[in-house]
Amino acid sequence: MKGAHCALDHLSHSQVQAFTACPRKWRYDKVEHAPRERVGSALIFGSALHDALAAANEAALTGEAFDAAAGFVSAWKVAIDQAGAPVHYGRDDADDLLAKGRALAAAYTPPPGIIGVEQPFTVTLDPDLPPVEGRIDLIRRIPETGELAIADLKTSSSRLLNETDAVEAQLGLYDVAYPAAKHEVVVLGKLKTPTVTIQPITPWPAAKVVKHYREVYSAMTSGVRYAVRGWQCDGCAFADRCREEG
Amino acid sequence: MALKLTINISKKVPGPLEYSSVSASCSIEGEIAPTQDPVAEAARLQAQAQRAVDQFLGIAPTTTTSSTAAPSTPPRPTAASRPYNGTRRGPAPVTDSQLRFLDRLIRSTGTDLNAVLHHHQAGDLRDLTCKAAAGLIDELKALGARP
Repeated sequence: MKGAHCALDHLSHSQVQAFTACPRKWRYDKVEHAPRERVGSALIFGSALHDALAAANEAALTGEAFDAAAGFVSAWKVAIDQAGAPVHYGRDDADDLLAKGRALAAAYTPPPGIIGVEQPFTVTLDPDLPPVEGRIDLIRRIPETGELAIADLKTSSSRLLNETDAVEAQLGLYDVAYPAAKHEVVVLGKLKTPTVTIQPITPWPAAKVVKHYREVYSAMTSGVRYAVRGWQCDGCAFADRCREEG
Repeated sequence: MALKLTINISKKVPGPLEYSSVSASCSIEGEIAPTQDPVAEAARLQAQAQRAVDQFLGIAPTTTTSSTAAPSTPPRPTAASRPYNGTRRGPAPVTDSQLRFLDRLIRSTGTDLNAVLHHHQAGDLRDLTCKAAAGLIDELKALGARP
């Protein structure tokens, strides 16, 4: 009974990423809906920055002015209020993160030619799979060539992403959902002086995306639940329970 | 008691002319014996119907789908979603951001929506392509900027 372990009404890139990062954590969260013991500050930071930049991009589309730094502070407060569990801070405390977020958001300039922000999509990759849902951070028309480009926003400790496999998979999925000629990541470098760089990406071909989703879905529905131990366990929302389970 | 099984597959793809589309549907009805696995039988019939529709529309089969092997889970509804059939889709559709902005521009400029739709031979703004929407936005912005 393959489907007896869990029933998923949809998949998403983040779900697939979460499962491959740690199947046990994914199961606690998505199948058992276990209460979170804590929320990592990185999640709050990422969510707030994402919201602020999305608002900046939407404003750029309509030609309006937007203070992304102030937008980050507002989004941070909302994210903290809605965390639903104690926030776990790592090396940086709340003030440090607020300062870094403000600086990153202030440094952000929306790329030219934006025509879509947070574009939702649902795509059926395969009749055997649940539909895959997602949101494309940015769709733009490159002014010089008129080509459509799909972009995802990422933060990085360097000016460019060194590891691109995950984003190649993500943009491969987006390419199936929304046709575009170019694919790129807008990289926000978390450097002393923040940087914003557009990094071209070659997305996975559709067949590779479909194969990956089939394989991951098969593992999800087969009850795979081993734990992946590593640096990510610090601040994990289910660390206590996982430790008890052994 | 025999079980009745009905499979319906319908698909619509962009047509050869601008704003046109071609659709095809296939319906298979049958009975299955109590000894047969209804899930496997449904999957088999669904694959048959899917092949017939794809063949009619001239769509290449999905490279990663085994149409003969029965899937281990029941086929899922795909009506509300965009099916991926292994081929390149038509032109990029209008984005939600463009729709929101168009709605604002149409109201702020007092533009007659029906005239816009008629001009673009569209029943709804959602029928516009991304490129047509971008052109319309530019037109409406220019209209709004006029003294």
